[in-house]
Amino acid sequence: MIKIAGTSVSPSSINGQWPSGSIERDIIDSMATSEAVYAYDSLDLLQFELKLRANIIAASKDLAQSGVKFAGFSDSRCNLDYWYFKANEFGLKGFQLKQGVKPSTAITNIITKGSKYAFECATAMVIVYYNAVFYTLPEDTFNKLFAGIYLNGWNRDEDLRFTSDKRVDYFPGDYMYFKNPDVNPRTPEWQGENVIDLGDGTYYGHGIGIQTADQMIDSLNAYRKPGATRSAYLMDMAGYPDFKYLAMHELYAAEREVQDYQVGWWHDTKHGVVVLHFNDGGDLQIGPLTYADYMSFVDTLRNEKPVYYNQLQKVLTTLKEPVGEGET
Amino acid sequence: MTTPIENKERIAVLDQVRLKDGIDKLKKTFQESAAQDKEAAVNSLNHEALQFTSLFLLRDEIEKLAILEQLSERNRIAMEIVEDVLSRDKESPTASCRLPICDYIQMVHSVLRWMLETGSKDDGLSAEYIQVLDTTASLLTTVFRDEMVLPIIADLIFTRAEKELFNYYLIWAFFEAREPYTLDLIANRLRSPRVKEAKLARRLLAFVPGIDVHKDTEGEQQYRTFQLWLEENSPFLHYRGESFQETSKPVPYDVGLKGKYLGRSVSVDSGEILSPLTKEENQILEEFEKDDEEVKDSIATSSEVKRYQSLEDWDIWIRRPLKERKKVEKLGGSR
Repeated sequence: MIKIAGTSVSPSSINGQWPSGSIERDIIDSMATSEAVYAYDSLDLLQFELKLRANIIAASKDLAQSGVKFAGFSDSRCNLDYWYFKANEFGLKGFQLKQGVKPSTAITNIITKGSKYAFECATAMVIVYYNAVFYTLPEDTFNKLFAGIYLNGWNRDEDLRFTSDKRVDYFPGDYMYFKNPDVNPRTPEWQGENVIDLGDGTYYGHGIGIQTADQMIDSLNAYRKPGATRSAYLMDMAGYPDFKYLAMHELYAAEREVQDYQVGWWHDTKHGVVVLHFNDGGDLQIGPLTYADYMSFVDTLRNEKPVYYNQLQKVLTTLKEPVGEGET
Repeated sequence: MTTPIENKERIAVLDQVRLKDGIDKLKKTFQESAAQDKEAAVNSLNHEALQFTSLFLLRDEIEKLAILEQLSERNRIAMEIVEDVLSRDKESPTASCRLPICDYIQMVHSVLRWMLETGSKDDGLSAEYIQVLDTTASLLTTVFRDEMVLPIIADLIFTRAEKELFNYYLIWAFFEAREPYTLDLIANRLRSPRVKEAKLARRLLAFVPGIDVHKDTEGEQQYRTFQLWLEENSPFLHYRGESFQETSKPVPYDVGLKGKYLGRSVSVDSGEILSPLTKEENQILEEFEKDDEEVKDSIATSSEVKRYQSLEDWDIWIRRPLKERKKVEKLGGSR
């Protein structure tokens, strides 16, 4: 079931903008028919998640075709114009973004100049997600969010906010893991394969390529120890970034002009609520607010014009420019 | 069991030269010796006390002299293992088995141990040497399930961290021993005054409640927290096999809650209770299984505490309906 702002919606009322058979439509249909409830504060947030999921698939395919090579941690390589090697506590050589290089330039370079890079499958997953977020967010926002990229296995910027869990449904764009419990100790790098679910029955795994689940399992089984009895298998759990958090950076990073407003104070419970109506047609309810915060909102809304609200920074302001970012 | 080389009083001439004058001198001495008397050179390699490092460093000389067949079983098997590890993409050499197969298996085990025990002191010699030691360690832990080498592997992991050397697959091999004792070997390092050592110990044990990767000032307290957790849960630990390749915060072990609830040891491989259960115990577990994981965790811990306090009282407590016990505990009957 899908709920937008607390109300359940039918797939037909929201899927008109995507062609039949598209990944976005498939995801909406799966969500709508699921026993789980997929709740979004606004349609914008659902649309953002669908856009990012489609871009994760696009970035996976781009990386698969980029010419990047598979290498164990000790043999990894990168374009030294943009990155330098930095080891972590496991002695793993990761790629640290060079000072003065734009994160967007360096992260897309992995796809455009793939032959200069070699790494293992966990690093590949993180690279896919960075590129997908870059395809989705404005470049400036991306560069601000991921200013110090360090690629090293599952190491990633906190702003991607990955979650991994066992769920009722898995969707295209999730990362999953094929485990190889009887891997040959001579080849520990084949102990499993991190993959992206591409939504058409295939998965992208760096080093193996785009394959079906059965093909992935066959590929891993080839690296089992002699006499192995356990097959590789797809684990029943999946991971994904914090779509809502990332959406805030696209949808609400800018100031929105307040066209009108409504306020209310609940005397018995001592809390206030303010509803802002923006000139872009959107609405936002803020509250419950303490008396001091409520009065501060009311005072600004009554006495200033024009007034802007930045939802990401939670700032009501008379300045169009983001607070703290103007020229001094 | 192979006696560690440190306990032997003898030292091979080739090791003496290497340790005193370095690698180049070792190679030169061996070449000169072989030029004068090939058999004597072979004998110096076959010396019982020879350390693996010297054999590894003389690989090229052994090949040039074509003396592989004259080497002892131990050295020949070790050379074959090294060649196999370092030629992973090529066809593996077939082991030349001069021993009966049952003896050969045992000989391979002894050789792997000798390689790790005598070779670990020179860890970091080269990337190839690291690769050979890593594979040696993983064969010992995963195929031979050899617990005796775990302290050596733990030392290697932490000395590599100190030197910022590659230890990722060695950590995997260490955990793949599927032996909760490995956790104790790590936990000792929580108290280390060396920052990198303590940090890695916290990172590896971060799945234990109360171990905080970011707290670098409470080593003693975190060690005590770990010991209490291990004391409470060690018979019930189940190896999940989660590694750093799979996630940045792996949980290699979880607690087999059914075992903890009934006070029965579980299989480290499956998490299932090892001994057969009575009909009544099965019924008790059936009721327990209906709750969600969080509730089960709390009830199992409660059960463990009660069992520790009084086995007699626990025996009465566990037979009462779970619903009734939960109600009492909500009223403050237990923790």
